[in-house]
Amino acid sequence: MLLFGSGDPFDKASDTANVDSSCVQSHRCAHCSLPVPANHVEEGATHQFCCAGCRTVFEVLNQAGLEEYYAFRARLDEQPVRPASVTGRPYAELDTDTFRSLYVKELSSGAREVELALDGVHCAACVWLVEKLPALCPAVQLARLDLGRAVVRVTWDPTVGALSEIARVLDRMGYEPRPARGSSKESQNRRELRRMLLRLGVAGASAGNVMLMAFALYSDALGNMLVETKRFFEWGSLVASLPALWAAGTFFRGAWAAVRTRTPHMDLPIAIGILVGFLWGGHNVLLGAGEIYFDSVTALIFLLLVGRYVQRRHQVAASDAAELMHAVSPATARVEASDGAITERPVDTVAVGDRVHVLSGQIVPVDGLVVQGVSSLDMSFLSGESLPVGVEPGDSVQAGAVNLGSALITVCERAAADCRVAGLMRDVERALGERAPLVALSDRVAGVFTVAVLLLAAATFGYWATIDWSLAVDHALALLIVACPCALGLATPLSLSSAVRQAAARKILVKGGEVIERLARPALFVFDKTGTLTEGRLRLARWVGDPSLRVPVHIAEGVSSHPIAVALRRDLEPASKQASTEWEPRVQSMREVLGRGLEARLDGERLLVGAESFVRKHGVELPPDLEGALTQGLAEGLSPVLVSLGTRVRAIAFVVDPPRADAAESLIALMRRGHRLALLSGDHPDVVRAIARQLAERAGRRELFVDVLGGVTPEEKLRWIRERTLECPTVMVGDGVNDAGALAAATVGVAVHGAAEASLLSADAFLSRRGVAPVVELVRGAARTLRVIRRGILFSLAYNVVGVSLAATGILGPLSAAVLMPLSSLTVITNAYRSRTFARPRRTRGGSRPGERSGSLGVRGELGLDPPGGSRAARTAAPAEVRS
Amino acid sequence: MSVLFLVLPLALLASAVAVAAFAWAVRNGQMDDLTTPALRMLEEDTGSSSRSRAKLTNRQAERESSDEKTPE
Repeated sequence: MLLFGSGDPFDKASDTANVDSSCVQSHRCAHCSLPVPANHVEEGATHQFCCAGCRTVFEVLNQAGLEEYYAFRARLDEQPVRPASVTGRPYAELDTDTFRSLYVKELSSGAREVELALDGVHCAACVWLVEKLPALCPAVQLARLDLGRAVVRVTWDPTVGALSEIARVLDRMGYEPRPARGSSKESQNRRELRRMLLRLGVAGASAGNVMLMAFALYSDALGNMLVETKRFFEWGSLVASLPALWAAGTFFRGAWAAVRTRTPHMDLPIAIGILVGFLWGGHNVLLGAGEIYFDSVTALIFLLLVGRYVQRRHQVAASDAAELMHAVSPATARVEASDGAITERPVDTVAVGDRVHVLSGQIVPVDGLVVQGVSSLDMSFLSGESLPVGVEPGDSVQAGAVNLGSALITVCERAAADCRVAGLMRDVERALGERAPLVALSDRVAGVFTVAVLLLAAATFGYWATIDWSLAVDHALALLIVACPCALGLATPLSLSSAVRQAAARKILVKGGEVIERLARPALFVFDKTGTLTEGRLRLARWVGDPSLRVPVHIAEGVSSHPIAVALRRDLEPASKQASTEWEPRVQSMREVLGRGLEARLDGERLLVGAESFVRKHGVELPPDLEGALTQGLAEGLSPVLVSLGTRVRAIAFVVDPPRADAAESLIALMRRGHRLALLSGDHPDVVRAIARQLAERAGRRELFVDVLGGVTPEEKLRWIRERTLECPTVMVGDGVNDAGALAAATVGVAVHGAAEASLLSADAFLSRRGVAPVVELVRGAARTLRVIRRGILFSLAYNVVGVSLAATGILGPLSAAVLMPLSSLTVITNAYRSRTFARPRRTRGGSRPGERSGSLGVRGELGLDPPGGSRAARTAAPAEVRS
Repeated sequence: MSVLFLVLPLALLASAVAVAAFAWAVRNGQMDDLTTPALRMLEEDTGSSSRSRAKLTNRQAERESSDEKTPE
């Protein structure tokens, strides 16, 4: 059990927190597969458990004959359960004025209120525990958890305790708190949903009551009802349907806007139908003769409102989820005052000339100049470069880069608002603002439909008016009611919202229904390289030269946390532990030269591991055979790491950021669907070309991409996408800050797993599953959804054609039209909700294609080789600050 | 049949009351979250003094948090 299977939840929480240090790696809990703490390990037992709760569940399942559960679970493509993580951060930024002005609401009682998104809440026990916050934290007055959104609303008394204290308690329980974005948009969404629900409820009540009375009136078909009773029911219907008229206000507003802008819109025939129905019905009630249409009109209003409410709700939920996933606190910077004291200050307040400390693992808060320290910076989110860049005093650093090495002291050169990242964010906003609205399919159909219906109604009226005036109104109205595009209006929103919901279940978050329509057309798919098509993590590609040096290099690289060192250490690990222990005493005095390489002594001889320039600087000779290998490797886009012993280079290790296991297969799948592909990256052109070649090779094609561009700056990316979008629809798939502008400018922007906040904000869809395959799934689902929509529209059009022709010729009266109308809606609703669009059973097609390695690699990618999603998310802090 | 003349307005009145109650619930955010309250009833109230005090402050604070109402 991930959380609190039994006993005091607090003990368990701290238990889980300490698991990593106290457990024996080889023992995994038989139920939850978390590591078993050392003091819980039972020697010789077949099944180990991390707690009594897991044991109980395991035994219950086995006794009930449900052990199949474990086999079933293993087949799911879920990520392995991770223990509740405790970050132990101080959360000092939560007490800053910047944070308060952004996220905190002041209550009249002097208390304050904040909404925090929590990681890892998922069950009733979480609700229980989080809402017990007042008992744990004296400052907290109220804690209310919304499980659906994983957001807790905390009311606290600032005179008793600080918010950071509360955040630390939540963090200790294993729920990492993050601010749940600015409250203005949130409450705006909430208010809108409430208003829609209110209208829906009123319309429903009205429709229900009118229908009751309508049934009484239907029973008068034989004409044996007392006249005054009948009149009474008619008046009752009129009164009961008035609230629905209020609820239909949104259609009248929509219709009025359509009239003013002279664009045919769905709301127009709806509004006319409702209005004519009411007026003519009221007219008949007053005269005491003829049909009243209140029942069909109110039912129409109710159904249409249901469709709109459901759609809006799903959209809000999806965009909420996408935004919450990477909401970050305003970033702070460690600023050194003139007296040497270091204070944590909001980035906004850092002025040009301030001395800023950047600790290892932190994000560079502002553009500046290094004055002290040597380190390497990960710029992959900023520029797409896969290799870290070394910096030393005198070099400039950019906000948003991650410090991988040791601490740096920089002097601020540009205030937060003037940094390059801030400029990029402004580009993103501009691009978002310029995006051309797409006329939805249903709106286009509806435009034609609206005009046709209005003309037909006028023609029917004109024709019958020559015979009998009252008959003419009756027939025209029957036509309007039967043709009222109720089904048409429901087909699209219901299909789209059903698709959005199914996609969310597959961990694909789509921010709006129209995105699905856009995705269904053939487009130019533009991929970012680092982190999107590749894993964004280095691996050893090849080792050329003396194999006996593999183990010493493995040992020596232990001193460094540079990504290359990590890759070499992992991939050079000897098969047996013994080899490692044998070599260990022979490798001595290891020393890292930050950002360049490392130096050590092997049996007294000097061992150098590092970049070509670093090794050459020490006057080491490169033998010709290795020189050949070096040029060849460079041409293949690999990054060489030279290993020298004494005065000669003995071996070269090539590292590369390999393409994702499912990339080639997914790209081919996209091509088969008629899409064109392009690769656009900020990384070195050679590397980019090499990846493109490699992918094409794997896919068995000569060319995969119509365009392969490397060394592209974020600004160029944006421009390139903008130009292409004028020619054809584009779909940009990316993850970094450098992609954010392009994501916004493209017809559809798709942010992949682990994307930066900036790109999440500008993207239309977010894939919270790893790999490229979800892109294909998204496209496939979109195509399927569009088919469902077309089917729905076809149904309702066919129904309308039949209904309208019957009504125009006078065979169909308004009453039978009203009875038939819900029938068509029912067909359309069933069509929308029963169709599988995104949710589909997993078909295993692996193994059928020879030479396809994706199957086994896919599993490895999912389980073992887990890019640190958390740290990637953390990198986004700086741009978020800049945005605010 | 004359009873209808009395009952029908009464029925309409009753549904008006229901609609008013619904409107109140929506405006107070009772419909915002439909999953968590169902789980909240699973909470055990063992009546230990510290917990009931926590509950009390909860209720007070809830009453104070008046800005939840939609300003119309």
